[in-house]
Amino acid sequence: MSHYKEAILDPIFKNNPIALQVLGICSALAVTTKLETAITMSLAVTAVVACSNFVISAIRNFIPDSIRMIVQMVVIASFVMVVDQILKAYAFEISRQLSVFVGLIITNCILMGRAEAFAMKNPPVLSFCDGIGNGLGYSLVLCVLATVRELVGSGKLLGFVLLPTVNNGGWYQPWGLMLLAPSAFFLIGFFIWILRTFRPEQIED
Amino acid sequence: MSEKKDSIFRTFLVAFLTCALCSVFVSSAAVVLRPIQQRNQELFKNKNILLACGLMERGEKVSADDVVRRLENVRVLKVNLATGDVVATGEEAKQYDERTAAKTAGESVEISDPVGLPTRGKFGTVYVALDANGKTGRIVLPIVGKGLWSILYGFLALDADANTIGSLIFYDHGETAGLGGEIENPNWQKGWVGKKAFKGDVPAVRVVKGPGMDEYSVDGISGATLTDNGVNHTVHYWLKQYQPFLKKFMEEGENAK
Amino acid sequence: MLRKIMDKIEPWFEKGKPLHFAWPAYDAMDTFLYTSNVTTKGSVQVRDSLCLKRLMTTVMIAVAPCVLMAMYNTGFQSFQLMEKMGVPFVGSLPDSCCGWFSFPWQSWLMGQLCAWTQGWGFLALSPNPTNWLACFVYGAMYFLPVYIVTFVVGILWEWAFAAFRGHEINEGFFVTSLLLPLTLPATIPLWQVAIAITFGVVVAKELFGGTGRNFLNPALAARAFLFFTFSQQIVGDTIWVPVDGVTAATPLGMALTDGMNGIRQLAFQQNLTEMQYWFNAFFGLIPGSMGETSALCCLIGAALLVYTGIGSWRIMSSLLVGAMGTAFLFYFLYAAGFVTNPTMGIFPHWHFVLGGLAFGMVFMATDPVTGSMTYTGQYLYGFLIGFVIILVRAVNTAYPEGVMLAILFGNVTAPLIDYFVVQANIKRRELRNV
Repeated sequence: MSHYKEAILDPIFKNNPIALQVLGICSALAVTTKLETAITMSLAVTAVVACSNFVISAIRNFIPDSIRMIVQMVVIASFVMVVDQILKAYAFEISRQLSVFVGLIITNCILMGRAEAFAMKNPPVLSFCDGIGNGLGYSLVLCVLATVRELVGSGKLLGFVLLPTVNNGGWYQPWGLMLLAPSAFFLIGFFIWILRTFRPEQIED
Repeated sequence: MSEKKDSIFRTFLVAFLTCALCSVFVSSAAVVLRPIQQRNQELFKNKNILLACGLMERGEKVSADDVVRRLENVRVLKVNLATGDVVATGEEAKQYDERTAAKTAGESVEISDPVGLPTRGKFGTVYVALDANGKTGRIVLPIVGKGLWSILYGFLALDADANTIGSLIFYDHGETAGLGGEIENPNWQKGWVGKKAFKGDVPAVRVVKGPGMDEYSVDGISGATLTDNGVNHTVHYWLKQYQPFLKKFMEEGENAK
Repeated sequence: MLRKIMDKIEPWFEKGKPLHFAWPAYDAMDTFLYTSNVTTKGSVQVRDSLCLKRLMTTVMIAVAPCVLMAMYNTGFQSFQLMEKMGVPFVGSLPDSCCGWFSFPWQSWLMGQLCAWTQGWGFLALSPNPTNWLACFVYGAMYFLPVYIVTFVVGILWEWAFAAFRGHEINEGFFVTSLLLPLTLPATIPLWQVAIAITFGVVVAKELFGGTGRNFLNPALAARAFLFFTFSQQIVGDTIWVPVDGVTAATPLGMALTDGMNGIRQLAFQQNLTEMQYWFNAFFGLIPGSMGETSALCCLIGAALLVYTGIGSWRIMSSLLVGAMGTAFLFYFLYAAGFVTNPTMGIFPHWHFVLGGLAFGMVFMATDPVTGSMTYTGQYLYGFLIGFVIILVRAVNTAYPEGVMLAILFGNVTAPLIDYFVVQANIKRRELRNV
């Protein structure tokens, strides 16, 4: 039982896919200008990584080594496309804002990384838990970034105005930099800094 | 086991099965969800039309049925931009898609004005909103042009006099958030309402900065001169293109009375 | 006397004593007043016979003309505009406490001073562009607050990091804190300055290990941060003269929208010929960032830096060649009709006096920490920056100030340039010794 718990909880702080493994940065830059899109993206990635981990782990004994990567890719790509279709059908506004980035989940290194490093060696249910865990670790970073970026960059949170901006007759001068991709780099840097202050074992030499 | 797993036959078999199963999975999802997606697309476009027509408030929650009902008050016209003649109405006009036409040889016309697009469709779509008495309320013209970084898609709505601006909305663009991106800010778009589009026969409404505001000028977005310029070029270009139609439409409107 | 006091209070700051946390402050004071009594232990890399402190003092003297010009021109521009628009000084103090937030105290104080000094002969101040003393005083009221905020906030961060890491405060910050205000418009809100310098010191410098280890120029990084964060205040397409409710375009902004026609229009408005207006720009009597307008003052600074060997003449000259060459190439393409973009048709000599080109060339690109070290590398580095400046100005008109972006870009590539130069050297020597 503790295996499952570890598989889910470890990737959140101890082995965070973004902060420690430094995977999946690209999408973390692109979709975190608003909390709403970040949450949607988090759910999508968590669902895809969990499901693809499960399927790949289930068929891991049948996959020939020579086409291992391609099979993983095909499975992941299928899930991504289905998730994209579902978003377009049931969350149209958000999927319009996410535009290509849902499709680009395919290229998110977390998915291939977990499939290759974990699902190929472990049973399906445990792999599924590992997928959930990594998805949560990814989601945590995304949501933290998006909260800061949306609040500081446009004075809102989940679309609700918290700090009325100057352009709309309020007093808050939003930080335009927060809406540009580089700010996510700075914030990820600070996130890693804080995380490693509390967990010095993650510091690399 | 492992040798057997890696045999050529097994490799092909696994590859084939994975592909087959995955494609069935993906295509069935696509087929099942397609109608819902198309409805969403349609709804999105229609809502923007309603918004431009003034038949829907910004941020108002409107059900899909309600959108269809409100659209009954909007006439769709397919217009020959060169002559200003209406060539089709109703369903046929709805089928016409300017974006596709602009890219089709024979269906398109070259653009020489600095709007950042090479061609436009030969025909244009016009939406005419009718008020409660069945008279013309607003005339909505789709506009498209280049801002600073991206193509701006929007609607310019004129009041029944074909001169006073009823509303301007941009529903799709990729300008810098906070600067050029402010063109989607309703507060800025409100600045267009009530301005005059034409001065005599010349499109005159424009985004300007600083003092000297009159009935033709809209307050500019600070820090976004180039997006403002793009908006100006775009609005002027399309006003010019639709001018023959607007003139004919006004004359015939008189006759109809 | 002073020495005795310093010696006497020194034990209070030693390890284990209650005031130890303030050791960096004490030490900075002590070594600033006297030569350091600590000699370097262990192996060191000697790059120059000058100590860092002397070096920084020389740079500060070289910047001085720009600082004086910044104060004078800020006042001059304000008075010129006030005269033209007929804007009077603010006469009354705000009646509610909210009014204090946006109260233009400079205008009020200047009005009081003018009234007070009436009849003092040549010391009498008046809001008149020809009254140079009044221009200077009024400009100082804008420049000094920005400078003080930069200095105080920055030094607090320096001190916090120094105390935390247990080393002394580095003098490099004195120069940074002087350069940043010069690149800012007079109308910049002070809280934005505080945020910017925080970013410059903490992110661009201290996170990478402090003075000497930063790969970006902290003053420029702070400027870039402001540029992208509060673009509306600083993007540079509207005027930066602190007169209430008045906006117009800066010469650079005009040049980048309308090319030479924009410049001619500005000259025409002031009843000047194009050449006279160019000299105005050269002397720095045009609106712009506080300290960047005067190419002449930058050249005086450059002379001092080159003479003392602190600023690399290689970087300066190759930057100028790169910028002028690119500008000339674009002008040629424009004149020959290959391109129609009016920004490409700006004459090269105008590029030199508009915006921050001269300032960036003399004081920013030559920063020894963030620039190239090798001589060949310095030529390449300068040329690259010069090329990118004109490229950004002429092609990407969304960012009027290409200088800042180009130098930051140069900073990032400097280690790479040095690496290749060193590798090439090694290869050549290997060949020689075979």
